[in-house]
Amino acid sequence: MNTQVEQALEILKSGDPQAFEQALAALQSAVYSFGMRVCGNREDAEDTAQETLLRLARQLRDFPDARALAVWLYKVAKTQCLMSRRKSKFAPAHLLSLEALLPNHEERSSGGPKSWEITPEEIVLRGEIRDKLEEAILALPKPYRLVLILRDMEQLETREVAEVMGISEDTAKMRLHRARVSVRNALAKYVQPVDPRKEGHA
Amino acid sequence: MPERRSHPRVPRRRGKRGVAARSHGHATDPRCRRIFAALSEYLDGELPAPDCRELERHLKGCKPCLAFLATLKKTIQACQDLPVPKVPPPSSRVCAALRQAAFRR
Repeated sequence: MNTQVEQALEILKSGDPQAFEQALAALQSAVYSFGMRVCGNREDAEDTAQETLLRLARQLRDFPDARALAVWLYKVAKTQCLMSRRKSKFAPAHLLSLEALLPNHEERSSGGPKSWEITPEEIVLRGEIRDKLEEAILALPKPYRLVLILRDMEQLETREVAEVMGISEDTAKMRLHRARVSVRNALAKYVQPVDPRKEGHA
Repeated sequence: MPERRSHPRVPRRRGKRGVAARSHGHATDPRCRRIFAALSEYLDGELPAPDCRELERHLKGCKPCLAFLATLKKTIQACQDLPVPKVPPPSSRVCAALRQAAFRR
């Protein structure tokens, strides 16, 4: 589970006035960021944060422990995102087949996939590549996008992702893999492959 | 349309030894395709040990699969490292509701 969310919920449940503001800020940050990543626009992210945290206020006492409450919180946020009024300009509603995700023709005709020069840090730091990464995530159909965000960005365990999504762990793993590969393939169009002479040192 | 796992597990090795080392058409070779379906579980440490060994054996002899794995790993790491978007403060309604809920005895 996302430890920041769990700790913030723990503080709210304990009613510690010293740490209240900090816990509230952490929860607002977590739920708003989640909404922003899933919906891709500020209005929906604000609605997601507002509605989710108001529901949390009503049900804070109904859960025995912070972890169960955190899973519930993500469930509510996910539902809010699915109800979002503004349709993402990307978001096609279809299934990702593994067949279609196999390395594409260009990569195959040039002798198969190559390693990349770029490091993950550079992907995030270089604005134009980061934009492509964020676009690729937003281009995922929502059921796949949600699983990728919950697992790789919100750091939930597979079983927690499955619980939040109301799907089996096997389906969660399958969606996660297809989502990751889809994003990887989108990035592959923009990043430089490693020079074959340097292969093995990258 | 129901969703199905294409290849839930890495298959046992069959046929003669050294097949993986042979040059082959990546993405059309059935071994590569099965490995391909299991790469995320492998990276997450969720692949059962015998399947891990089978996958690692294949990777030793298959540069395209190894390169794909490395780029997938970089993609995942980049997703994990994406900075948190700029967050506005919570609305006064949210502050009031949560304050009341937290301090209600």
